[in-house]
Amino acid sequence: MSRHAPARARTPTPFSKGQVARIAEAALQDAGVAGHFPTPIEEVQRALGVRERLTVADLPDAVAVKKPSRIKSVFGAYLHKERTIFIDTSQTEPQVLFTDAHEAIHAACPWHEEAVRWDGVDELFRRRMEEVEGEANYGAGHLIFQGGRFFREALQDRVCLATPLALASRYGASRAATAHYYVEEHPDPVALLVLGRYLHLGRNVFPIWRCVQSESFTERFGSLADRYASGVPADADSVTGGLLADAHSAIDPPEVSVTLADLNGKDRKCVMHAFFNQYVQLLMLAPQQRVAEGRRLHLASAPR
Amino acid sequence: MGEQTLGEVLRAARTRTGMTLRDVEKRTDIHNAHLSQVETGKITRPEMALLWTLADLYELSYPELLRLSGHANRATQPESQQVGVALRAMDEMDTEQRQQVIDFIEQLRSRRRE
Repeated sequence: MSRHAPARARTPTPFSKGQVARIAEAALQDAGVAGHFPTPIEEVQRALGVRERLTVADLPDAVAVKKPSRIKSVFGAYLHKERTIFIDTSQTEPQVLFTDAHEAIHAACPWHEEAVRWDGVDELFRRRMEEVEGEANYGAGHLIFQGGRFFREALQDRVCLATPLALASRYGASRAATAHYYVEEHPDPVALLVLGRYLHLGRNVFPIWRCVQSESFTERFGSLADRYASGVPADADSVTGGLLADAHSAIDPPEVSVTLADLNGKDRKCVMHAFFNQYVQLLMLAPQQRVAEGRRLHLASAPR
Repeated sequence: MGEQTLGEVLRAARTRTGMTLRDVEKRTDIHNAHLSQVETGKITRPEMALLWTLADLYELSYPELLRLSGHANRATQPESQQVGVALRAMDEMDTEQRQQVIDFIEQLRSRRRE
């Protein structure tokens, strides 16, 4: 059974993203693994001063029976004072990689330790956790895909869902996580909707679990999720429903041409792609492209 | 006279250093317009990464900035026994559940050493 992403994590602000990206790049350089794929995250953790990495498998049998039931819902944890990471290694390899990278970012960001001090779970504590969890998720992406190094490859191919899906295994990541990073960091306007696989509340729509957009998509089109506020149409006669149905049986992500009005009200020709990984449905949208040459790539620099 | 606001504390600290908003921007990447909005109180709860950066630059107490910005109820003390653990879990936990998980992980650590 696949466990879904943890409950709540807030999208980091542009400033936080910049700080986390720089910290992640510095961590890769310090560990001597920049350009190595899949990123050996445990070496990054060691370079960050992480002292121990524990798993439930480390537990002697005599103690195993005393596991609290809630431990099963814990993907990972970082104990700041002890500089210790705990990982649930019963997850899939890509999930373990992501969780390892996520906890490494907690170790790397100096403002996280104070943020997660608590004397009781209250609303303020939850809000602080949402903020640092969002940063740790964002930074994990940078440790795994390494920013510009990923895009040197990705931008050689057209903007479509097949591009990140084909790259996923090289980076040790899940296809959904790779698509997420590809869209979020893409220099061109691209958006991704992550949809549940079952109809929503008996209506003929799929629920949107997450919407990821590149900065330039947001600037040009606003929020894609807002245009599907009631859910994404699932009936076979609709554009999205037909495309998603095709994705369930296709090997390569099917695509269809659509029109999307930009924020100035002008209709833009776009291409919509779909993919189904047996757990969630992915719907990607990008304007039709001309071939772009001579792109500049920006790598996050080390922190000041 | 009431306690100073976050913006007032940050503005006073910046003034003490003799830096302009643009000087701070060059050193921290905090956009000068954004910092101005924080100092004038238009933004009262900036992100924690920003507060950390300014605490470091101005030599202020980061826990105190968290408190002034409404991120925390009170500033922690250096000898605080509060636990700093980031838990990534499938769903939210209450206080007792969280403590149980932390205690378990601590037990795992001590058992591994035996």
